[in-house]
Amino acid sequence: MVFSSLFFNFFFLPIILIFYFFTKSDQLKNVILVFFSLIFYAWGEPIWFVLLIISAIVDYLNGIFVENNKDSKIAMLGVISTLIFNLGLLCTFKYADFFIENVNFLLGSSFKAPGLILPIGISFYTFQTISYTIDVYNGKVKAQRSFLNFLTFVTLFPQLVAGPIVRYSIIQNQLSKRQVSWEGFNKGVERFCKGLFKKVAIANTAGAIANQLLDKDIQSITFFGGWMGLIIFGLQVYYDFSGYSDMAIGLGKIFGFDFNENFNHPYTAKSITDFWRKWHMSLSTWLSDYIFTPIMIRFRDHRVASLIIATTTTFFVSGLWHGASWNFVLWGLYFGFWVLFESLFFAKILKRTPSIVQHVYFIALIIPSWMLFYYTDFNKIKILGATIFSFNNISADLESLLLIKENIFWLILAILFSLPTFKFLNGLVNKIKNNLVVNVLNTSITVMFFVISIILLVGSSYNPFLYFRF
Amino acid sequence: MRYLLSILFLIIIFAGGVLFIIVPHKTISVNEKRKLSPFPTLTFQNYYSGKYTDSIDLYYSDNFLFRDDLISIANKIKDNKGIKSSDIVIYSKNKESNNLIDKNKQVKADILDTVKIVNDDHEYQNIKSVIVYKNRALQMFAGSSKMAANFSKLMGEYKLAFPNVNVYCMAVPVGGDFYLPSNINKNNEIKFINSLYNSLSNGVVPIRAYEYMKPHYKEYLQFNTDHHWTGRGAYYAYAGFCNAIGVSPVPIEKLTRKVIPNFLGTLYYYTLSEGLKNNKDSVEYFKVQVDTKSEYYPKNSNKPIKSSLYAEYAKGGNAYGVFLGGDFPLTKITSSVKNGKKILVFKDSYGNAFVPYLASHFEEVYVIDYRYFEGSVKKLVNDNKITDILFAHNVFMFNASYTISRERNMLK
Repeated sequence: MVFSSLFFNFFFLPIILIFYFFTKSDQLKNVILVFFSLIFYAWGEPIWFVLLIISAIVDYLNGIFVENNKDSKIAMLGVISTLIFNLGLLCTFKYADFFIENVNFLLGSSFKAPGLILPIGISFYTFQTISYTIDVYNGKVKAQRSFLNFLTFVTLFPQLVAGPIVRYSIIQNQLSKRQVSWEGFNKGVERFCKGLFKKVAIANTAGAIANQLLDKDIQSITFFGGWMGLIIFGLQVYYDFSGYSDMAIGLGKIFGFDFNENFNHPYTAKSITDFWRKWHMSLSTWLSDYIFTPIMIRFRDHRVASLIIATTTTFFVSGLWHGASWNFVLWGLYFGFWVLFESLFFAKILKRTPSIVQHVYFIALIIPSWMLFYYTDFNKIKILGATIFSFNNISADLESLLLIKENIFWLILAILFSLPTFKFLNGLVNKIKNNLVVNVLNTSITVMFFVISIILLVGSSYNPFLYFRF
Repeated sequence: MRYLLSILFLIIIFAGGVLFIIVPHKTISVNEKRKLSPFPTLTFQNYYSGKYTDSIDLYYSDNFLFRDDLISIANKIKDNKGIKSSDIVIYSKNKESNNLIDKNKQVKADILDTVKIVNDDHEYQNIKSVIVYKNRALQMFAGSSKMAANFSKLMGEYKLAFPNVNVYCMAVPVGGDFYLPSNINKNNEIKFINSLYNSLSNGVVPIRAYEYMKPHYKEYLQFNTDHHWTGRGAYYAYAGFCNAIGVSPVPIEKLTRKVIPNFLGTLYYYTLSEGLKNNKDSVEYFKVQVDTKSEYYPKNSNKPIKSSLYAEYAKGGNAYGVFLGGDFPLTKITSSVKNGKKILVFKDSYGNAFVPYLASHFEEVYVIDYRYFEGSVKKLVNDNKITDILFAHNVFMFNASYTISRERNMLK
């Protein structure tokens, strides 16, 4: 199930709210959360939801095992078992086809790829449970002794399928005891509606436009169409993902959880390094804590070498995490290269330039990166790359021009709201110093977001027969 | 008051949820020409494949409260995303949305009683983008010379199989060349037609429909809101055909002109463009003077059903059905003309507007719709002593491998 569906908003959500808020005990509330979360998950994954439960059992047991053997060397076995199990799941379901294709390519063999379909959210929940066991091993958190609470942590539907990667340490206390309040509910609703609007009104439109611009005969894409397509695709990825995170965080608040933030206006970044501090923060801190930092510590005697190894590995994994295909790996390594370039020497130079220069530098690097994210076919990347960098042959096609013109208001708003415009407006509103006015203003904007999103969702159900009978 | 937002939110989702259950649901969407998704039945297979839950989502959105009104509000919102040029808009649909709906659910909302619903995967042309220019909707065409050569090869095989029969090829333009500005479409159709005609085998005669239509392009040759050509467009093509076979066409003034007003065609429903809605079509047709008898063979049946050249009761969104009453595997027209000439026409629905004119020059006209006909053309030609064969398709169909493979199979 997805949050941006009519069924979720007008059926699933009202029903779980009734059950949840008419239950007094925290334990029962957890039972309800787990029950509905499993329905939510099984909605899109009717068979493989079993994996989720098995994964929860394995890590629950490993956590206890690790803690019980804290002072002994065999505690490591628990960590290893978690790694094998979770990475095994990922490798089987996400990377097996990719791996076999490459082996076949290299050896000329013809092993059959298993062709498994990637279970929803598997990249997220495996990372969550891996970090849990490691944290227990490192003594950062105490093992969860209640299976119900642990299952609540793993299955919690707001963050289950698309992040943020909520680590155990963040919500451990809330699992057994949490405050549900009107205050939190209200904030949650506000956040949820904003996220829904981002997804439905901005990301979906961006997706349609980007497809029209980028998903045609690659030779016929012009300089203008290519750049606009990549910019709008960049907006789509941002709004899609951050909208989903907003909805997750908002729903979390409604049910009394405080999740970690996931995006912090990444397009205001002043360097690639800065971008990764603001973009998909739950993933980048995860990678930093469990991959980058351990490598840095291991090779700490050789600063430059350790930096190169740690950065390259981290971004290689990051790329691969985004998708089992070489273009994603290349996408990751592209960022790895620039981060390394910056941390080795360029950051010092960049800092001395005016901030507008830093922005331009960042924007010039980020837009082309989406090309690597959009196309899995390297040939297409090569052709489009040549088009958008041939500055002596600047051209625009009528179709792209018209498309941009027809969406120009939308585009300006989408760009504005990827910057901290909201914060700025909020600041203005708060100057009014009249709580009632502020509240009414906030409420009406949020309700408007929600209503427009619902209208657009209904509108997208208009599916006339597009196949014409000749 | 502090929690006004929460209260409003709860009211909206609960009211929406409860009303959804109370308010009775429609079963058919007239605008979309399809059945709305019903509540699915739970089977293991359904559940396992994920179809069950998908169908519930679809059921929910298809039957949502005030759906039609909300859709039109949504369109108004979408219309204000930018600056619409007054005279040109391009519509493209997402690929995904095409696959959402089960094709079996199509209905003719305003069913012509003779038009059958057919569920053939290949009978539909998947439209990529539609351009509304000066309140007329047109499709962009782009053909390949390879496909043209393939089609020529097929017609050559027909000529070889029936050496004593005249074989004609008529490629019908779809309006882009005539009505789109040249920075969007520059002679795409005639380029393709020329490459098709240049690759014709010996003995296959090209019909210059395009050239005969072009001087009249300012007349009403292509519908504003539908993907078909008009009866008038077909008339000029007919004049071109007569010229090629050496007879003179019946002057248009001698034919009985009739008009069915208020026709909103497929391209309107594709775009929902306000401009198109205000530029409704009328279906003009010119009745031939000769007496005709006509009958068609429905799918999977050898029993002919009586019909007529013009289904004059056609109206509304189905007004184009006036020509031959729609698409059937095989239609036979017997004319009062007695000259021993018998023609077999391969056609798509464009052919429907054209075929009636032939009754003035042929004793018998056999019309095969390439999508549905399953019999043997050899038998048909030999049994009925056919003297002429005409391939009459629009350029899209000449440029489609499906047409080629179907018509090659019929020759076996």
